[in-house]
Amino acid sequence: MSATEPLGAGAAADGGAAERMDPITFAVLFSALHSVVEEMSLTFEHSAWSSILAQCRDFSCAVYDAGSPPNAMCVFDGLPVHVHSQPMCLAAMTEFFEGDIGEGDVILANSPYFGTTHIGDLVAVAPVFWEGELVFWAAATGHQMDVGSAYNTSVPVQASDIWKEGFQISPVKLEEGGRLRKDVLELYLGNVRHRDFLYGDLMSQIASVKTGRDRMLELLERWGPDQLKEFGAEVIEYADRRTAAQIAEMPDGTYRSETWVDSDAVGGTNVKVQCALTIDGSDVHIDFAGSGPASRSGVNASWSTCVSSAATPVFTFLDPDIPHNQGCIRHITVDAEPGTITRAQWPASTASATIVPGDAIGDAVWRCLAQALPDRAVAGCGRIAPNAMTAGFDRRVPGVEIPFGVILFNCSSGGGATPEFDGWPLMYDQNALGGMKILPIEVLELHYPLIVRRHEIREDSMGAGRTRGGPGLHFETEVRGTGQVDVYGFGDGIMNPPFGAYGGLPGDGGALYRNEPDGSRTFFSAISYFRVKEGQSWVSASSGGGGYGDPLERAPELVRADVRDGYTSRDAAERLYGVVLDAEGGAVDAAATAARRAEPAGRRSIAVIDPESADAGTYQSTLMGSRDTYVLNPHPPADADFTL
Amino acid sequence: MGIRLGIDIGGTFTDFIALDGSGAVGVHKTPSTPRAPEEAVFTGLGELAEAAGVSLRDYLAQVELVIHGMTIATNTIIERSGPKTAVIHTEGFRDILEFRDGYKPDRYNLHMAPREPFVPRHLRLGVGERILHTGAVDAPLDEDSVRGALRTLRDEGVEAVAVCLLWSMVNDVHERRVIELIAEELPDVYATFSAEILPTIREYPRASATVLSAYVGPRLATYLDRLADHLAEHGYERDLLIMQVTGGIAAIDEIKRRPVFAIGSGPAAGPSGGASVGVRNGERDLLVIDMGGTSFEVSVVTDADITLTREMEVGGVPLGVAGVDVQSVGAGGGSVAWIDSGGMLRVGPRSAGADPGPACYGRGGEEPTVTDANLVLGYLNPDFFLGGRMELDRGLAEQALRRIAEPLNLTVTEAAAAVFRIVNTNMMGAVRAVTVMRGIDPRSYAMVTGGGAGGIHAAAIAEELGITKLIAPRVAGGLCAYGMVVADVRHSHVTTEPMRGGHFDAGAVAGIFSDMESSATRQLEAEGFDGGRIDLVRSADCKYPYQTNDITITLPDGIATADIGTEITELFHQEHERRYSYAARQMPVDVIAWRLTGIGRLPAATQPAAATNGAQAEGARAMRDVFFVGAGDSVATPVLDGEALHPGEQLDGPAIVEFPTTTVLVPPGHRMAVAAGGDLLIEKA
Repeated sequence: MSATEPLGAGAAADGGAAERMDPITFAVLFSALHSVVEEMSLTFEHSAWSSILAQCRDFSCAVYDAGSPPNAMCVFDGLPVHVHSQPMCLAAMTEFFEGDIGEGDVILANSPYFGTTHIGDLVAVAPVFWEGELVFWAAATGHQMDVGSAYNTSVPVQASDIWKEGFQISPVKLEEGGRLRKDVLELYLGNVRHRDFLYGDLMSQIASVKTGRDRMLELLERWGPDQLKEFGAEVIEYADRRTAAQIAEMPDGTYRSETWVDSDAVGGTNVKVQCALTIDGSDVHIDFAGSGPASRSGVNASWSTCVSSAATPVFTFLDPDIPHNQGCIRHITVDAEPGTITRAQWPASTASATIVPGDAIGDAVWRCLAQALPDRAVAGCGRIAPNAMTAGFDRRVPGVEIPFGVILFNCSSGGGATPEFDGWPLMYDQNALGGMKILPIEVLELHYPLIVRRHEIREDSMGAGRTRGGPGLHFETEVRGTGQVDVYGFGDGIMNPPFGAYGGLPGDGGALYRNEPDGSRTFFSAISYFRVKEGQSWVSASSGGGGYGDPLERAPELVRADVRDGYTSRDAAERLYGVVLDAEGGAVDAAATAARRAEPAGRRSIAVIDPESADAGTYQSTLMGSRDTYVLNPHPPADADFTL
Repeated sequence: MGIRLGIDIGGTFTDFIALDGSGAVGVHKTPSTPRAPEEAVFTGLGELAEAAGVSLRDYLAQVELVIHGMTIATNTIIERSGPKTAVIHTEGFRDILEFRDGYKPDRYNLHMAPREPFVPRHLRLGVGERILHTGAVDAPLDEDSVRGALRTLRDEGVEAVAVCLLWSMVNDVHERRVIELIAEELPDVYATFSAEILPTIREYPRASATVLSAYVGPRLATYLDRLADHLAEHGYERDLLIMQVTGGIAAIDEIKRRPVFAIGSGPAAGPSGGASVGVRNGERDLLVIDMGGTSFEVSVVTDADITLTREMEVGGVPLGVAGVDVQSVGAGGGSVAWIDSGGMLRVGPRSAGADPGPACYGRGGEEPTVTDANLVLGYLNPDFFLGGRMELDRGLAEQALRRIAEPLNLTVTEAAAAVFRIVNTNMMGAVRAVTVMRGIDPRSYAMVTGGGAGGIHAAAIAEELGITKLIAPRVAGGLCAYGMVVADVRHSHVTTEPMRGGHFDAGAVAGIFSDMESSATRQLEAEGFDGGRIDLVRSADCKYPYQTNDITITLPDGIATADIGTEITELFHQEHERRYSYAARQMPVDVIAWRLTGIGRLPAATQPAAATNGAQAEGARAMRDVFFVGAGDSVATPVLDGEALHPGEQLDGPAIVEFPTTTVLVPPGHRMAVAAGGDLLIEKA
């Protein structure tokens, strides 16, 4: 192989992927590890029980070396927010059990103060030993449907501290030397709701890490530990080289942005997330100094969520197939002041960290990158919509009561437009980037005492632009066969919608409301708690994504097609895009359109980022009538009985 | 027994396999005629008759069965050349096709066009109605809203309509009524409904199967009628049978009723062909591979039974129906080798295709491909490619490989060996996906190699996976057409009637199965099968309570229906444990749907008697320097003419056996024997 060359723009043309290992073995092992992690993911997805794992894929798998801290041998196809955080948790586990890690162990943790993202994400790891030596780790992170909180939700955002938040799992061995610890299993199941299906979910997560362990043992048998360890070192260098070369091509400078979290669960609104992103040679540094204070609720970032949410947007400006291992991550450093919303301190709760404020953290970074790289800018993606966690009892079979809990990701937000394309629907949020699945309506109705009344694209929900945002959705659910359900909204962005870029407009923000028997509506802040009674329905309306470029430059034929398809109203076509359709709406009136587009009054000033101030959501205020009411951050009453 | 004729229309050639009463297999190819695919069939039939020295009428009089596979339905989807198609949904749910499963691939690539829904939004309309999961009508069908929607579709000039309402698989009353209204309002429009096409839970795959049926149905029906008429006019008196995506065959009427089953019909025959090859050589657990110019396909046959999956897609559109589980990766002879921005050598998925093709074709291709590497390594004969019909240029291959060799500091041969290894790794990934990832240990399986390039790469892939037995069939070049003449008739029936664990209603289950069994039997009898040739296989889609995915469990014959709950529960625990390493034995088991497969077995094709002379295969037509991994730079290797081999002969590797449409590599340390039917059996010594 050729000698090592300096890192930099020329790295792509240097002497091959690997500096010491022969390039063919490197490529073969790269694929082999890829299949190991893919198999772990398939095992998890196919065998898990609850819809959040089996259908929505709210999980991530990876394989690490036994370094300190552990380096990812292969991360693949997981959720972005888990990429940075999983090795931080693994590092905390290895430190905790130092000198006491044995063959056949399976270790669990969910505590954010041991490196997890938030309490809902349980991390499971299995060490891989070869001839008595610890050489690798197989790890899987998965969202659990209950966390043993005072509140019957897996995202207990109302919790003011970790004790209210739920059953804190510091690193603990569920299996030791290949033996299942029944005491630990029962301690866990006894402290969470829905023990039957959480048992199934736990077993599938354990099956996933054991699959990873077994496959790594097969690779060790085939290739030997030295070659695999060498690969581990090489793949870090490989990612490092590619990342460094690409960041080096970005324009140096410091770019600043601010954005706002709608509410902090305890009545505070528009909490600021401030960001300064510096591109310096082949490194990116992100600093959240100046952000608002930590909240007395679960609306706080754990440290691992903060670094994950901050790094993810940068990954999207690199070649998507660069492995996001430590060689890549080391070029993206993050700073945040302890005690702010971007970095909570013990014993603060971080129950909703991965979404609120995780989404706003990512949003702030995308705003900076849009300024740095206009031609590759991506307009704002919707933050996690009012994807309500819903819990109650299934009483559809007379005489039978089965507790259930489900997160309805079906109403998720649209993605931002890019210079080339309109945005996607169902991008979920900044931290999932489309990597989850929705629950089929029929599967939902079979499993839960809920009936879906409408699941459709919402007209004019997205930001207009030369390319427009992906649409937001209308999702209306009726309670049938349970008596009542508890609904926990844990979203963001109704008041602070996805930004438009370079003349593109913001999404409309969406709304969350309950239909009342008298025909009025009660609107709730994105973070809230409310009950819905038998026969009543509630609506989660997600925001469409932000638009890119001046809407007056969108081809009139595309606007016409959007009107015909019900993405854009005739009124918006005329008002925002300057496109006039003939009386039947079937064709573009070319002369009227040209005239309309030439009117100086129709021209807006072209903002790089729109909006630049808080409270810019429009949907809720447009929708609310005189009989409707709005409630900010309602909590479960102190005497709430969740067994009703 | 007369001739059994398999006709497979491919992109380039239309293949004919004629299996006669003595078991002799004739292979014939004629260029495909994509604009009017039946033309190539007519031409080829004429050529077959001429070769036999008889008139077409006399030839067809000898034909006992015509079994046909084609890409017409597949191409209609890929080219989007079907009729203007609309969908009618339950009001409030018109975006089912647009939302899909809600998954965006490639997390970190935000610069991707959003998926275009198969039917644009203005042609997806909602009508007032609602049925619940119990089958209860929550809101009656609003016929005015249906007529209003149909008027809109008439104004739009729609030519086909799919109806997919929520929960129609438990109560199809609204869907059937909408179909009646379509017949009244739009009498010339082709219409189909989801309870007929795929009566299973999950609205997106069901809607997709229904829409695809509406989309391919009209053109398919026209084509099939034209072909059947032509055959009938020329003296063929039996039904024309069609290869289905399920790997079984069906009569034309069944295909016209559920056209989605004709999508992907050609490739689905490969595993049946491989299974037949395996069984006649004493192997029932098989990995059937097929490597052509642009892709590599692999499927699993366990105990001589093909494997089905519910995750079938064509051009990114899910079929919804279960089909033969054929895993495909972009790894073929034309796959291009390149170096990524991090300096890693990659092969594929992009292919140089047929034009310009690999550099060695001399048609202007400059990028190195797998075929170029195989030529440089000595695996391919520059003078005997396609039986000598095309000459390969080794100089051009070397020149192309230098483009990757130089930046990687490798010699041209080393670079070629690297391409060979990497493409093998990519193919291994596909093999692993259908074996290890589904809980199947490939080491106890034999590999059947199909396609032009399969025989070159098979031994290396097998070695990495610990597979020791390979079968290179005589029909490797036309494995799919061969699969058609040996496949069984197969119909799938399903009834969605969920039952909660521990509360199985044995009487209801018996009723569900007996209804499906009598309709399956009637259907097969109408197709000419008597009781002795009909198999009925029961299965059930099972899961734990709260578990949202399910697994299809095959129920053994002769379960007393009274015990079915206990049996299903135990079988599900076992299967769950086999696949996912654990079972929750303390939990009951739910059933979502009940399935029945009706199989009509064709008489087994006769095989010529074995000749076992144990003689050493001789008659190497040349010696060639060939590169083998781990065996030094190059090894002088005998090259044999495959057509000159005799059953019973054997030899030790290294050797290369050349057929006009395929090449088989016997690496050092392997022994090859010629089987009775002319297949090559290769075993690791």
